[in-house]
Amino acid sequence: MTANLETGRLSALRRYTILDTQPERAFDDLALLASQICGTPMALITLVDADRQWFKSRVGMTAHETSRAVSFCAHAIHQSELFIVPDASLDARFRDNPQVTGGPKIRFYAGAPLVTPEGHALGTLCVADSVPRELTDDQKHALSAIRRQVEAQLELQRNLIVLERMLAERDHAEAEQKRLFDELNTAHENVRKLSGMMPFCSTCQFTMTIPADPRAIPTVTDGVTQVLTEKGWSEPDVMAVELALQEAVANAIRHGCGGDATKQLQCSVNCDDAGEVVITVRDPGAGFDPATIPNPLDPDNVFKPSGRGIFLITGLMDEVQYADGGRELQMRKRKPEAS
Amino acid sequence: MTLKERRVGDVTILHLTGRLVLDDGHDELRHKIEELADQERVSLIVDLKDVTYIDSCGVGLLIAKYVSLRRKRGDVKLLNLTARSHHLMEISKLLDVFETFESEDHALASFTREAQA
Repeated sequence: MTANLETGRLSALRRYTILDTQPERAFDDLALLASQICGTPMALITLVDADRQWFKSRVGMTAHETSRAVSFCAHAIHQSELFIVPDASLDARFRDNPQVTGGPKIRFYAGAPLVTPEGHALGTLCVADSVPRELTDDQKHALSAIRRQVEAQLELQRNLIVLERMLAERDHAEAEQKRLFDELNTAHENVRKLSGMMPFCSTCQFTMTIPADPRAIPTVTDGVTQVLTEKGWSEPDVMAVELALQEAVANAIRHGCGGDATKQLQCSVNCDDAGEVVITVRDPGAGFDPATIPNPLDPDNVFKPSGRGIFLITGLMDEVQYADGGRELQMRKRKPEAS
Repeated sequence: MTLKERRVGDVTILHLTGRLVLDDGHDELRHKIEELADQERVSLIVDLKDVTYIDSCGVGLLIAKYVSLRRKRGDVKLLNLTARSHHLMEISKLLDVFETFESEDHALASFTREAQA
């Protein structure tokens, strides 16, 4: 076997993660069957590692592993079919083997390689005896059949390992997804309540860029409401600023961005302890001339469904200014007691 | 916003809960009133007791539906305005347009009187 093939074989063996695992009934039963069908006192399911052969299952053998150098199975894995040694004492390859001259005193050996679907022989299903013997054709066929069952069992185990790994990865991914979702929720909540990001500053100043989507309006209004409340603004004044901001952002979305949620608008808020809040809303639109906006209180306009936003903003805030051709609205209000 | 509908004779009472703003409740209320108008149920009381927030879009919707139902010989009357809603309607000069009530019985009775007139 070339070094590359052996390296590939050992890599394949590692993927089964079966070396040094506990005995398992499924393998032990197959080893017992092999022993009884072949009429041998010894039967093994071996896995040939780099320097040792390790026994996943063993009948009539007390050792858990032996050196690869004295292993019959190390020869068997190079065969495509059954590897049979009728009398090891007469075989030049084995007659001086310590397992022949001593230990279990092996004379007869028959091993069937355990081959993966990719063609790597990981070990053997083998039977052995301390006296020379032969196997009948029926016994050979049966041993090959049991070998296939061992191979199937190995594949089942590997598939289970893969499945367990995939399930673990899925669990990990789900946990990670939940963690990210929780983080996102927390971050969103903090953004929604902007004061959470600046709880004790004397002057709160922040700028937010939000999508031109009506659902994003509370992102700004809730935060400003909370900041003003925490700074001791009265409920009616907080309501006035909140409504003016709602109107300003709604106007920027509908008119400045044409209701296109892929566009963005910018909102800056500056609230100081002296009792003044200054809010700037900027949209990317074509702008407008505020002087052209009709008065919604005129009898001709009072029944119109729209056109009240700017009127409300002007009425609710102390000062309202437009800049950059109407693309930027700046409005300010002072706490009445601080005026 | 959530919307509950109740009918007393020819009058439909819509009880709103939550926000009536551009992004919330606006479309739902518009569809409901249009659906009622299609059924010739044009006498409407809108109960605003549990409306926590209303903006110019909400007001605009109410005035638009007031106009369309009046054209069908119906009416929209407002019940239980909160201080906030009242303030908004006041500065928008719409308290001169809408009849407002603090009692459902009085609101219902106003429709009866109109029917008898």
